[in-house]
Amino acid sequence: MKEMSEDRRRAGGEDFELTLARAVKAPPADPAFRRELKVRLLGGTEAMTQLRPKRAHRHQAGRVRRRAGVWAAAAAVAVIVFALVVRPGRTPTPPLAEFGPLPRPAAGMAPALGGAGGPGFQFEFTYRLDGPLAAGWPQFPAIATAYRRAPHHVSEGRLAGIAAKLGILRPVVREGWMDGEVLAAEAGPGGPAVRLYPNGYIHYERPYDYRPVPRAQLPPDTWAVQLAREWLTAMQMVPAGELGSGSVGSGDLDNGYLRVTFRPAQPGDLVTFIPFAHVTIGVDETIVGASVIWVAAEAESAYPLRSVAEAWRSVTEGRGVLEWELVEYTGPAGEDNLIAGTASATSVRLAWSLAFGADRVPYFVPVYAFSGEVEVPDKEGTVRLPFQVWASAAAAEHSPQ
Amino acid sequence: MTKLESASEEEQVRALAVRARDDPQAFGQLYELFVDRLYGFALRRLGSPAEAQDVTAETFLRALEGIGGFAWRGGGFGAWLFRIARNLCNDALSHRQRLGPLFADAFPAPDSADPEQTAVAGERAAKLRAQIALLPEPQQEAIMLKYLAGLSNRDIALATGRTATAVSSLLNRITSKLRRKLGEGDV
Repeated sequence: MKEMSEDRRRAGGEDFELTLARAVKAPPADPAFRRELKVRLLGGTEAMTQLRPKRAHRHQAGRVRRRAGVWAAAAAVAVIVFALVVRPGRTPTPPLAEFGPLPRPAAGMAPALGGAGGPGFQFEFTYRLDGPLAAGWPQFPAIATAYRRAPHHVSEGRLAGIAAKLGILRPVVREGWMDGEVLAAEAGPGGPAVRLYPNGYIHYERPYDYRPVPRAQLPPDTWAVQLAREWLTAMQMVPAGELGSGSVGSGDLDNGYLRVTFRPAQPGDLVTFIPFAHVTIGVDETIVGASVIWVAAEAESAYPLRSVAEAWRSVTEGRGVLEWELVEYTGPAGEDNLIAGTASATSVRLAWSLAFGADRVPYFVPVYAFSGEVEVPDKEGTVRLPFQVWASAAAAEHSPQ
Repeated sequence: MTKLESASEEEQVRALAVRARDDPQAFGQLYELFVDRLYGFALRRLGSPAEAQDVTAETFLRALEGIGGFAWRGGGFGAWLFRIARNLCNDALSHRQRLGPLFADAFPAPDSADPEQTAVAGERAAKLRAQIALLPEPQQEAIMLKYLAGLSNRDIALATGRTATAVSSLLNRITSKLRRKLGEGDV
């Protein structure tokens, strides 16, 4: 404040400063955009918060405590798994519980405080089963695969390799980034540049004439996906064979590009938004940019599952990871930011969530993902919004619940 | 626009930034505090609401990815955030090789209860906008970081790679110049 006053005195008084603020004032962001971005960001927070060693150390402690129980449980299910493995004609089952206890599928949160629920809000949800789930649980397999992925490899050598593929031959430099550094390779001022962030995030951009173009000047969807797939593997950003089917999403004809998004081929159904690979393609099939955060495949192991009823109990006790759609939500009715509502789950599926182990090794761990609608009061009455909540599917002996 | 000039507000942001490493809700509160100013900054720099939204989204995404490593090193969360946004805007501008339509008059002026006062103040602000648009780009940027984003000189310095003294001196020169252009004389 002292500094501002000093500036005001120099500038000729508060009045002029206020006029300056008035002159540069901009309209606020579109409310729909604000809400959508918030949901997008907080959907990612669950995964990102697990990148930090502090939380991972907590998992390490849990791993030591539970190790004895793991082997007992492994022995108990060995007969079942053996039967599945030796049955003729079946796909070979990977080794059993080879990774030890699996890390939590999401960051530890207070009960019923889902990461995607929105900042500053308190939740008090009552969970109930509805629709087909009210009649009974569907059948799920006794075991599911957990995937261990390779930790992020962040080094000058790696970025230099990618840069060389991109035709950027200048040496990799270190740029200040918060309390650390980001590795950067640039072809020259205003030229193509690629950066590798400490968490493994790769960002590439090259100069492009962003202007409106007709859709016909951009490649057809199927070709765009194929183009992006080949480019990502050729540039060594994603190992060959690990990309899923890919989709053309948020294209922007006003600026002359379209964007292809990939998720991992295995497992097929990930509830977390990491990993992903975005490739931006412009006219003449030019790769304009890319944003990639990936974890390469390393190993697989089969894990016995607990029952879906047990997972549902975890959810009702507030130990699930909640994600719900706030885009159309105007906010809690009261002034205390408390959102109390009833969440009715109408379907459940076996899916996978990104999780990080004590040694920062990423995993995809099986989860039961329940979805339906939550009914909550808002400023205009009552509204029903989609929600999803997931909890570990691995048997208790193999996963901290 | 939320300005975070006082020590207590700065402390609040600092506490939120620390909590946000492990608490998504804290990050969400930071988002609420900064999203409009960040969007406004990007909009003024780029002139396109769509591009401003892209920059805002990308900035918060990068902030979310990096919040675990964020450390309080004499500068604030705002400085860090606007540094990211500034780099993204500069990238976008270098791609376009031209400046966006800065200070489009279609943007609403602040409201006031007194229509006459609004008209006079609005006219003065419009003249000032026109003069700001003629400033060299780094000077426009400094003005916006100060008077739109509400950053302290120290945070502007951190966001732009200058010293706080240089920022103070630069702002002093700019405001004096703008006053002269407005026919209000120097101080």
